[in-house]
Amino acid sequence: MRRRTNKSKGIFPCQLTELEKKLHEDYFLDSPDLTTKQIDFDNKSCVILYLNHMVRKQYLYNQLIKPIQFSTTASYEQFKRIVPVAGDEALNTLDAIGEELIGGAACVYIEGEDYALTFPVPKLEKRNPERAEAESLIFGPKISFTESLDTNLNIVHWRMDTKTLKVEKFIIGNTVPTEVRLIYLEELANEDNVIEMRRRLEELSVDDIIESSTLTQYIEDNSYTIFPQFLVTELPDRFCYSLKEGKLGLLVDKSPTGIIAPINFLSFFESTEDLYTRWSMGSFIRVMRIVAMFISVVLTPLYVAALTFHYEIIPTALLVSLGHSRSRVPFPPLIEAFVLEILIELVREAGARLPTKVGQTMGIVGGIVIGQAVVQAGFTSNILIIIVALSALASYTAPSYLMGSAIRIIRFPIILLAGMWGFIGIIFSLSFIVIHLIKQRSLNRPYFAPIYPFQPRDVDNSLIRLPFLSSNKRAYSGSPKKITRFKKPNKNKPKDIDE
Amino acid sequence: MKTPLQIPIDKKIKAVYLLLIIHTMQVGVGIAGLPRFIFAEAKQDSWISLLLAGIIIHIVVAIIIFVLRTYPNTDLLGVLSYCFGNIFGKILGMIFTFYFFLVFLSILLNYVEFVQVFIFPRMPSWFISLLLISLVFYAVYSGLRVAVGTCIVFYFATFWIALLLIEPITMIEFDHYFPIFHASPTEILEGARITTYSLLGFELLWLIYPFIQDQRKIGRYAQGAVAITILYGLYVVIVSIGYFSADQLEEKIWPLLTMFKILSLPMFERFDILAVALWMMVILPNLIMFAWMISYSCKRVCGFKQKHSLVAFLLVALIISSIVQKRENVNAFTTFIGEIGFGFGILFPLLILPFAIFHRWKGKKQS
Repeated sequence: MRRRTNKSKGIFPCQLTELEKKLHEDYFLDSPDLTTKQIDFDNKSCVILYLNHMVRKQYLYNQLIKPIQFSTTASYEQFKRIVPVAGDEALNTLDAIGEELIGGAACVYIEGEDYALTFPVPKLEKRNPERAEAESLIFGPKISFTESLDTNLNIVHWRMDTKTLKVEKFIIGNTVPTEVRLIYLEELANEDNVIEMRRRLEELSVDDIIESSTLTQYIEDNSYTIFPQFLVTELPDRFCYSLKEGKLGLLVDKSPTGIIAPINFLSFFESTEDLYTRWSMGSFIRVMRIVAMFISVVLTPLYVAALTFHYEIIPTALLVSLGHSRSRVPFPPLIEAFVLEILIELVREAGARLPTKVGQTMGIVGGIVIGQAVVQAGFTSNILIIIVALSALASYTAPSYLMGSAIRIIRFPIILLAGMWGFIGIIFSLSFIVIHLIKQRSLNRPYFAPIYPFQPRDVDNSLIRLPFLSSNKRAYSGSPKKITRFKKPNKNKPKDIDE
Repeated sequence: MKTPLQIPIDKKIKAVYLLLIIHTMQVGVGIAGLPRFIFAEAKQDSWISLLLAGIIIHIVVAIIIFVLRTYPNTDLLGVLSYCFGNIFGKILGMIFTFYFFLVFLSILLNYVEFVQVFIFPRMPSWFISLLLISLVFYAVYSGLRVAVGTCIVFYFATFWIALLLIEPITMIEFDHYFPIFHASPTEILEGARITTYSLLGFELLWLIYPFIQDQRKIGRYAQGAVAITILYGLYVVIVSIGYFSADQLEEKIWPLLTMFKILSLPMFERFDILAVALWMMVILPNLIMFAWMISYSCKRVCGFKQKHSLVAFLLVALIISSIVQKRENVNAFTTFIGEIGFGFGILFPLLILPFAIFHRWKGKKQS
């Protein structure tokens, strides 16, 4: 699995002890875990080397050491014939052998030969696929990706039983190489996207990609924007659905999330659950999420702007109760809103960091107790509590955690501007965000599609969802090779009422 | 200058967008004061003036497209140098650029005026212009595609404001429209002339033409845009005439914005304040497209980098907007822009038409 470094020269043929010593001292830096097992035959002897903690020992003893021990002659041909482990490799440099051993292989060397033979017998610690936690669905498949690439590939292949599924392998990372797989459906994915993604992955030369979410930050189009440009998901069904839309997927070893690219802004407010529920419910919830995003961004700033500058827009009846509840508050609305917004962020962050049980307690303490006390102490008004809580709640409706966080954070500068310049400040910041979004690209594709470039035909794939039989087109903005999903069934002529 | 422009395909935009861009360009600051301007001349027959102006603009747009199609893939500067030679073409190009700059300035100053009258009387002018100019810079700096995108998205973000006139519509007095045909033909013509310069903005065609992907369809979409604008103008003018009495309409500086005043929603007692703030989104496309036109024609005429000329003229605009303070000055300036705009927008295409016809005729003769 590793990137081969062919720097060191061949050391073979050599003595058994010499190989052992060189591996031990030069490559493994006196590691206590390098284990050797010498087996003597009539005319010559051979040695088996492995790293103690990287191999499945039972398997190694039964399938590798035992057959060799009972072998009659010492030759690689004979060993290959009697050892049932597949995937043997002939290697002749120290580095290559060392890398294989780290990867969980056992190395067999017969004295005086030109090369050594390695057999993979790795032990990988991994957990079983479990229920999705961060993007849990009420309705629909519950399985989520795990940290093991093998398992994830297995899930994807199992979900997408089609021969056009193409998988390409990349190895990224100079110090700690990590395997990355580019997955797409060859009959659907746009060539340009594939070439661009391949180029970005090949040109990436870093010491270590830690995880898939860090990989996205290495290969995304604009690192300076707050908005995520690739979708990171832990749901295999979301991943596979996007592949079926003609998008590209990336799976990274040691990471429990897959990456989807290219993506557009509105996709962050879609969930596969919209597909599983009936179309009317799905559409309603999708529109609601977008409205919620808007509310979350605008509500607190509106409050601040109205109370600081534009009293006249508040209806008289409301103004009375507002005035009553604000009469005890000694701060300007801007400070008041900031205090409460930061309080909510604190509760959220503390809840996320603490262990589950303590976290729940903290949520109650933070949310209810402090909230009540803050109002009674005259720090904020009741109405602001409602508004801030509502906008915090609304920001959590975004199915993507990254997008939800982005929305929560862009609220702060807008509140600040609203507090300084009222409505002008709000409209200014909204305009700025819109221009900023239009500017962004995801894998060189416009990020704000289908709003700009305007694609009215994409409405049933972005803003709402229509019954499957009548929306048989993939999203135009995803530019797949084939737009039509399937042929529409022939409609019978509509009959008259009592025909 | 005469060489056909080669625009890379990924910088081009679809012709459909013209429908909204030209419409948003025409409807800007002008529409807010439009009913008063026309009413001052044509009284209750304003709508006739408006229709007349609509016909004139349709013809002018057709002429512009005819002229542009005569010469191989070029823009205003190319056309000018074909007709008047390189040196005169460049001088005229510079004059045009300066005219665009003046229009940019008038939009900017007018919006500053809006804000100061309706929302923040004491907010300094330079600060409001700074806000606008920073947004304009951000959009234009990323190229025409982003500029056009901003127009489209902001159109969708604001077109619903016009629907809020529902409440004034219910209060229309039908007496205000009668008697029809009361105004004399000269008054109606004068009204039409004033209308045309409130609805300028189609000059954009001169420069954006080579950037359009499917050039065959330009005519249809540009004319569509003009038609939408005229309908929109008719809507606003008719509602204003019906809603305001004659005396009121003459003294209301921005009848459209005043009409928003009576609107009250359950959670929103005074809508006009939000409307004026939202109007920023209505005029931003204008400013952005004009800024693009200025920086691009600077590049074509003088060979400056678009980046540099953009920064330079935005700075100049900022400085000027901080100097011009008085309402009367802004008003006089706007009227002046209208006068010269009539020349640049309406008369210039008519002037250039014979050259284009001659060019075509010569071309035919040669072949």
